[in-house]
Amino acid sequence: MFFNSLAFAIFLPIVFFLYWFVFNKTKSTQNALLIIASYYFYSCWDWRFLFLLVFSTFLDYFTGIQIEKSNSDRRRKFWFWLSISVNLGFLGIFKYYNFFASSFAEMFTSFGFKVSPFLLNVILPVGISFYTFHGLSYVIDIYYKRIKAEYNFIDYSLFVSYFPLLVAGPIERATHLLPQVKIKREFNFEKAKEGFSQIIWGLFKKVVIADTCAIYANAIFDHYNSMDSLSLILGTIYFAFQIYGDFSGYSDIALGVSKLFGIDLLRNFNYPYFSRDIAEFWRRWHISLSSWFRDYLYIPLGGSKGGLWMKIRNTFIIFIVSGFWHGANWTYLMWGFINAIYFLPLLLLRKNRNNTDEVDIKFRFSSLKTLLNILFTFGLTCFAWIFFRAENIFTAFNYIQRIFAFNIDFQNLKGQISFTTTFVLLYLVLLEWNNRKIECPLNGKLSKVKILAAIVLILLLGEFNIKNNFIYFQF
Amino acid sequence: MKSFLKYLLEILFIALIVCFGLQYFSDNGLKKLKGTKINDWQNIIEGKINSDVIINGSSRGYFMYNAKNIGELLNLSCFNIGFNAGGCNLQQSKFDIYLKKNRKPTVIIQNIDLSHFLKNTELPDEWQFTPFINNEIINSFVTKYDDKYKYLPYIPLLKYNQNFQLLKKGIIANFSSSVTKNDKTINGFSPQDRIFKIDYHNLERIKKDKYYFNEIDFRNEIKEMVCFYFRRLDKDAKVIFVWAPEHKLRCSLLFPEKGKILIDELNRIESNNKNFQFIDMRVNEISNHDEYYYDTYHLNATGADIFSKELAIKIKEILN
Repeated sequence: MFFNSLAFAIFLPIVFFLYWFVFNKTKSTQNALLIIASYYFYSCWDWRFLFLLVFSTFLDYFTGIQIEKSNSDRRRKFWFWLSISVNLGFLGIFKYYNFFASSFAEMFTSFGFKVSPFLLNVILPVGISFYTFHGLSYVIDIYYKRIKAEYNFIDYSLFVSYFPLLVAGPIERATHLLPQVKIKREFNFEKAKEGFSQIIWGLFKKVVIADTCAIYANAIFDHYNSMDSLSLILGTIYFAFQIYGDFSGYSDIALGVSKLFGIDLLRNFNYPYFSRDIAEFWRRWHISLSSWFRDYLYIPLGGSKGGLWMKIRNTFIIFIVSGFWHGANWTYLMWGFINAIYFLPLLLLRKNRNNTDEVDIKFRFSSLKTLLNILFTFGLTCFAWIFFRAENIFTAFNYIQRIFAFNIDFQNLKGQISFTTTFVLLYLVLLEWNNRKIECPLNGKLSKVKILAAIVLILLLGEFNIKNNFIYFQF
Repeated sequence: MKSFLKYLLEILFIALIVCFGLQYFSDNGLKKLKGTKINDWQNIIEGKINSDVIINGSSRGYFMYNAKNIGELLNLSCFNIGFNAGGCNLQQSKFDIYLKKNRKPTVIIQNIDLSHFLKNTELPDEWQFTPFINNEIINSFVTKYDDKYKYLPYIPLLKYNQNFQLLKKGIIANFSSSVTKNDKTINGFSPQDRIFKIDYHNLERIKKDKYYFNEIDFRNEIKEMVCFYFRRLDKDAKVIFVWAPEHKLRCSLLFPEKGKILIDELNRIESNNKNFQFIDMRVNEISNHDEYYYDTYHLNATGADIFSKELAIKIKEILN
């Protein structure tokens, strides 16, 4: 059940109605309804995945309690590593086993040994990377005594399987979500209003921006051999907006839906394409994942406090692992590696926290520098997206090679530009720029007019004919 | 909660007014724009045609039979209900829709050729139905080809989805009556003011038999086609099947073997039924002149005029 499907348009009002009018007596009834709805939502993809979700929930619930109850350090460690290894084991089997098996086989073959790897015929359960990370953060936080274990199984289950964030995040923290789950939610008009506009904005970004850009991005990436340099550059820009519209659109819908139920989720995007350097980009893009890796990987590894080599090592580890989290493919690793290369100079020159203030452009010379920095950062991100989008690493290199062939064919370029796409992209950029101080651009001044315009654009320009899944569901 | 529901209803209400308003404005403009395919549909479903002679066919019927010229020469009212890119199933459906509100014609001119028997599984040029999605007759027709038409009448503007140009055209049409050159229709006929350009892809399709001519049972199909009309028309109505001039490049690819069965069957039906006529003009003087075609499949406006006049003379002889 996708957020942009008719099924969800029916599902959401039903759950909303039951939640506030039938099951609103206590916190427990509210949570029970949300769990039933979440399991139903998840089973719509494949009911067999439910077993994995339930098992993962049980495991972390149980090990969390055992870690807290254990008196000896050895026992605490045992339960901690049991949870970590089972969680990562599942992720490894479902997501990475085939990749490693075939990569090793290829490596051996290149040395002259013929190896036929044993590959698993399994499909990747939707959202496994997200709910596994939920569970991991919970167990790690208990182990380091940052939080107490949750003894109420219903509350804990909801923390793991809450349907707005179940399949594509944001990756929540127990410290943020559990306290909200543990109290009865009262209806809040302002929050619900914000939620509604955020759903509309997310839907706009998904069906208008992402799905429209996808048509052009796919056409260019799939036929890159016959494209000129400018068209190939344009292809990366289309993909940059496609993935932004797709993922941030999903996150907005998730946040909006959750607000309707009185629960705030972590903000996942903060207008990342207005970033003035890569460090700022990573503070604004997929915030819940970046901060997860920062808190549970980068800082435990020593962060940026050690010597030069430790800083370099940690930067590469965090970006490469982040790339690998996205999928078992060399393209994602390369994408992570490139971002590490981008980030490293800023870290070493201690400029990684230069741009923490609000981005602003006025009619003065210094603003030109800001604008150029934004464009430069966007260019760097687009370049890295080539690896993210390409089928394989060779295609990505060929694509880049063709860009730098400087072969220009305006006729070809003309075929890749449409009035509608240009219009919607300009609309997106201008609306986001003018409202960058608030979480959802449809809120604030003239909110109703902006919502109305978004609804009209969704109906008119939304791509409903193609079956475009949300990209991040595959992760 | 009450405030939120009120807020939602308010947004919904304004959105409905704006969307239905835009839709109504555009629908209205498109329907009013005289001499267009959409306006022709409007006249058909309002029963404003009522012609003596009806011309039917696929794109070759739609672009090649000048209904005005034919009508004038026959001294009868004449209208072309050809269906661009429409196979025989769509042509028949269009004729049935025509009969719902218009009186039965006395003469049917049906364009025929080998590709006539192909059947559509999808609707070509769907935009032509956009203003009529809410019309019961059109809706029941288009729903057969795509289920989305079931719910499109209830969601405003969605029928213009991905067709912003059509919406714009419809809104502008409320203030201006200009129609693009090759979109203009005269008595349903759409003259194409274009110069010849070889359509290699179409020729290639014939060579590779992508039309699956070899799998079509022409004999049965043509019998059914003739019966289709006689079942619907009055006893003394004339049904004239016409094979319009084929371009010389297609003639060499299509004839004689592929068309022979069809021609034989048409001649046999003609000999057995006095109200049925077959006019074979596929190999004609026009066939040798590129200047009368815009591709190897279709005559341009000049070619259509010459052909229509020649055809009208032949029909006049038959009717007399």
